[in-house]
Amino acid sequence: MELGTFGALFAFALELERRALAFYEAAPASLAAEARPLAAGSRKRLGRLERARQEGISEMILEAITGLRSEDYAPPAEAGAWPDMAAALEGTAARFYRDAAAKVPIAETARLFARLAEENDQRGQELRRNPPPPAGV
Amino acid sequence: MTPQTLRNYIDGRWTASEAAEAAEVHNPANGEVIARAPLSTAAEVGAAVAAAGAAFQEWRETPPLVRARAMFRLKGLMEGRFEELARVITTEHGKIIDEARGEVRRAIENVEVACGLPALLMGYNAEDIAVGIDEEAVLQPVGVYACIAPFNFPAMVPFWFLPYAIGCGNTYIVKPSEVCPMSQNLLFELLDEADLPPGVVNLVNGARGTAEALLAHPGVAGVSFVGSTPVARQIYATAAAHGKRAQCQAGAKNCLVVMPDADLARAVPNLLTSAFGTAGQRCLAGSLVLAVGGAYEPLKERLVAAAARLKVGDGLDESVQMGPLATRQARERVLGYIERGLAEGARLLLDGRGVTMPGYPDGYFVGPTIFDQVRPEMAIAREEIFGPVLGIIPVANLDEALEIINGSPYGNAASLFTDSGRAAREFRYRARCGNIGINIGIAAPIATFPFAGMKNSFFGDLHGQGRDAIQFFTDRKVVISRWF
Repeated sequence: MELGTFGALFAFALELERRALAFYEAAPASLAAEARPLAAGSRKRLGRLERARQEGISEMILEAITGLRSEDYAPPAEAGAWPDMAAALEGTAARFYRDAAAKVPIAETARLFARLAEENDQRGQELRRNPPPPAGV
Repeated sequence: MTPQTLRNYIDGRWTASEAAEAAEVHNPANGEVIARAPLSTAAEVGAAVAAAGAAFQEWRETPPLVRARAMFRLKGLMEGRFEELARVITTEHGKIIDEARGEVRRAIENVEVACGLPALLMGYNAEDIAVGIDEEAVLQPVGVYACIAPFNFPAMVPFWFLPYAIGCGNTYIVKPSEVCPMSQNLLFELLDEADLPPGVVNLVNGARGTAEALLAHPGVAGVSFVGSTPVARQIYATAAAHGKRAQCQAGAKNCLVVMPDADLARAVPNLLTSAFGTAGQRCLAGSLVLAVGGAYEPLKERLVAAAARLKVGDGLDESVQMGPLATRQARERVLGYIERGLAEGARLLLDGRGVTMPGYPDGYFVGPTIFDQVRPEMAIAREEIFGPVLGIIPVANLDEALEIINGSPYGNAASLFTDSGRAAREFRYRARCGNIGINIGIAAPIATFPFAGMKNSFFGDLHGQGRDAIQFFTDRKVVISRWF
């Protein structure tokens, strides 16, 4: 789907965050300690995005956003190990927010997306630096 | 879905109207009847005025800080139901969901400003105006005020007034548009939840007869109106004849001037938003582009190409960029203007007449429409179309553009796109319009500023929002004292 409007962009960003939250909340019990802060972070990000969607639109800019499609940010295949999947989720989100920040015509939103991408990078780096033990160990 | 029949909110209670007639409220995307708004009777208006009058004394004695707390509660409630409010606006009006969200945000911003009224209501004083004599000015509420609201911003416009009116200690009556009354009814559910004393805010559904009863009622001290110029003029005269304060915001024909040095890549999306946002049903919508000198050819091409790409459809679809017109009659009127433009010799560069929406055969859609070779004397250049129709007039220089702007009977808004500070200064200084945009397509003042308007775009002196609102909703009393 083409993400050509402010509303479509935010609807997809919220979907990405919900996807991440569901993944972290469904982590096996053995990984709960690692997943909990990530889930908490995702909940906070969901709130931040919802606020930005409702507060950042008062200029009512119709300017079309071009070149962003939701298919390019599909969730990773569910076959991998948990840490790899988590890192892939973070990587996909970072890529989306970075691409969107470059295209969205509202400065506040561009800043928010850039910040979210940075957070995704940090979370991804953290997962790679300290990979949690494999599930069931 | 069975359409709901809306009720009035009078004296802190929801009451069914006894009116025999009701207006049908349609979802403009599909033509379905979604509600019925009773055309409330003069007796019901009288009951609302009586309730507001009875509530006034106690409410004006309520400390401003306590009144402000009600505003804080209301803000919280509006934030909590934000998405629901936006969806109701889109469903009753047709504007796209992002525009509806913007409208809700603007309404909330006015409540936020009203939260600060305790400080803004402070008077001023001077010692020793003569030896041993001091003078002070205090601001006092006036009484019962009313708002007669338009259909194009059905949630926001009453909130240009209501938060300030009650924050200043007055009591209030809203008559929402009978075309789009549902979001205002939902907002009154929130006002009810905010638990204001009975009678402080009242809602009376209705149309012209209801408005006339409000205007004629001796218990109403002042009225705020937003709508077309002929109606605004009439309401202003009627209010004055009945000794009421009035602020009547009216129609518009806003020009967007593009200089040869303008950054077209940045300007074009702004022009599109201005002309086609809310399907052109904004009193700040740009409906004429005055292309100066060399700007004309490249601008025309870019505008048409970009407008042709706009996705028209049901405003609830997040990917849609322009929704339908609010009513079938509005659609017919806009189509009539397109015919008139052609008959007068303008050239149609982009024709929005044939737009059809799969799955929405009964929607009130007209696509973005652009005319070229428009002359200032044509009806499409002089009259308010209130639809997605943009005319382009080539002009030789800024002076000629200003002549057209200042020659219009309207004076709501005008915008200039340029890289020149000198041109910008000249434009803001000379354009006789209340809201000026410099590289801004929709010069919509935020809540701390007045929503200005000049000439036939405004009747009155004090505008909605900002400091003007506080003046409109208060009397200034001067006290001069000497102690022997």
